[in-house]
Amino acid sequence: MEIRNGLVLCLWLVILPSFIGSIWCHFATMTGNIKKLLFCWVSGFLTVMAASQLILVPLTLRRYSFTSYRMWAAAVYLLLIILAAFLLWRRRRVGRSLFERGTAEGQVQKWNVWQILFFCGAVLLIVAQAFVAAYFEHIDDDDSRFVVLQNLAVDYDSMYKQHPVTGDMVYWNMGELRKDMLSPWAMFLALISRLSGIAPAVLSHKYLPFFLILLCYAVYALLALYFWPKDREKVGMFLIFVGALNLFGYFSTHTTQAVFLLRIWQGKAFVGAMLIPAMSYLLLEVMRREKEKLWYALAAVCSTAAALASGTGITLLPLLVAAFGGAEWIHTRRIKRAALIWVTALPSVGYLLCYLFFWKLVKIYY
Amino acid sequence: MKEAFISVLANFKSFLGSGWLMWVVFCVALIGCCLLGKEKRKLFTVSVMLCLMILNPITYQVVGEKFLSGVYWRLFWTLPIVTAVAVVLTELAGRWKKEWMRFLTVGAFCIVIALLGKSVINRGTYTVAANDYQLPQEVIAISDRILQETEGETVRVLMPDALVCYVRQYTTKITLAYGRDIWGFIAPPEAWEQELYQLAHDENIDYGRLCETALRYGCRFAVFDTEAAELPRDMERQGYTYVGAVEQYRIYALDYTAICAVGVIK
Repeated sequence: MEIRNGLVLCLWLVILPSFIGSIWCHFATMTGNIKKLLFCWVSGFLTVMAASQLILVPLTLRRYSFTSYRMWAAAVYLLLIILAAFLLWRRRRVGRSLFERGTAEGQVQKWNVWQILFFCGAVLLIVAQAFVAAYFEHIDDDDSRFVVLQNLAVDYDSMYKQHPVTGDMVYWNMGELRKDMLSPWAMFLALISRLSGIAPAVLSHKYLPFFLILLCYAVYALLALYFWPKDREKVGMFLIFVGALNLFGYFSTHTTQAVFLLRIWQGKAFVGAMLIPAMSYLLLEVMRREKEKLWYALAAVCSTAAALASGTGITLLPLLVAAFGGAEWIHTRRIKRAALIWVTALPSVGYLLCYLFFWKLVKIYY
Repeated sequence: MKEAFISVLANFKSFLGSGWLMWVVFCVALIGCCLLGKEKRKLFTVSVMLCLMILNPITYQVVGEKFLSGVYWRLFWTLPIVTAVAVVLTELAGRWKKEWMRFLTVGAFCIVIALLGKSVINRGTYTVAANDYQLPQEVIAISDRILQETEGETVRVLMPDALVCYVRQYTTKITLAYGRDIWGFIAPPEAWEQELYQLAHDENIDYGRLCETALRYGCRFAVFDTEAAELPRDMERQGYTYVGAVEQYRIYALDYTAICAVGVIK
């Protein structure tokens, strides 16, 4: 049963997003198969999340059923899969595979013993953390909202229509539920639960930590490849240090490291652990490759994905983008470039305005 | 403005906890990033910009009070602390020409990190899971026992405080008389929830009145924590029918005939 669950989740959380992510990889100028694979997974996951956010918010405000979301998500994901398959087929037809064999010079770069040693050390540290988070139990009371909302979606086919505690019907003005309607991470997880046939509590507590922690480290690996594109040894070292700093960063319950390794399945923790480093990586790429517009688009997708995860994402991402834009202004003295970076925060800002003017939005919507 | 700044500092302290040394290391690492070339210098500039924004009382008044009330410390998540420190440590370890020296330096740095830090994974944060749900086993046993009684029908239950957060993570067939909302989370509690909570938390609990009120609001079962409060011997005479016990918890069915007599409001 566990192997079956692992394989099914591997399909929904790794293979499907990676396949969709190949669309971005197709347009990006990138070398190195490992980097391409990691990039496909991360960008694909962000795309899947952003697509869900765009579908979900209008549906939850209109009080549609969970089945409607499933249908729309299936249609959109299918379109993305068809697009990815078409692009891969077209590449194949002209004899350009997405993944290269060997380097640009035509030689396969061999791994030396030390590179393998650092790489194995990093993998061991990362997989051990993912395993512990999945195998052992950490109880967090915030799940009395997040996991219960997933349960209600799966059991009653409803999205934010029932009170998580009493089960009574609720309206839009129910405290934190209003925030959840604009950041419906619980419905995204409920979809995975429904597709995999795994109960939401089991999915969130037992399986998601494993996959999501690996995804977070995939982002850190991309950051390492950004700083040292040709130095495998330093990439391994960087990942070991990141692993150690995360593992021994429990200075308070509020640190990023604490939420990362203790409750990664919660939207706000996912923002701190994965989406902020991912946005940082994408914006660093934007700053480096000013002519490739793809990175701007992907940063905007990340901004939308952050809005799905949590209200924290809606607030934090624009701040991060503002800082990166400011830094670009200082470095290049070109306000136009800074402005282009700031534009990538627009999706989050849009959802922030929706939250501020929630009642007007609902009124207009009806 | 002064108050806002004090609040910012309080949030900063709350975020840091005992990690002052880590903060110092981060500041040193940022200076290191400045010296490590154009790409890494960006980390310095971005971090300075972020600090200027987050530690700014105006940001607190706009963001902290309107969007992140009580959780302003989350803004500090945007600082690339782990990344900057790891970048500098990697560059330091990579400076050795001999491979085995690099290997030893990485090991030494990791030992220092472990000695100066506190592990997120410890006995206080993680325990051995009793079930696949990774929820307290008594929650599952109590829920199963109640659902066995109702033959799978949805039912409202009065649960003890220690269990209210977990029951509906296991099954939505059990709805609660009150839950975490009573402590100000999720949504403001209804007046009837507060009434029941007050009755269940009186110093001298009137079990008869509690039973009657719980029935009035649609509860059909009540679970009591015998470690939290001693139960009277004549529970049956006050409208409770004993169903079973799981660890220190006792499960009672509320007298169904009384529901007909009183009438269900909720």
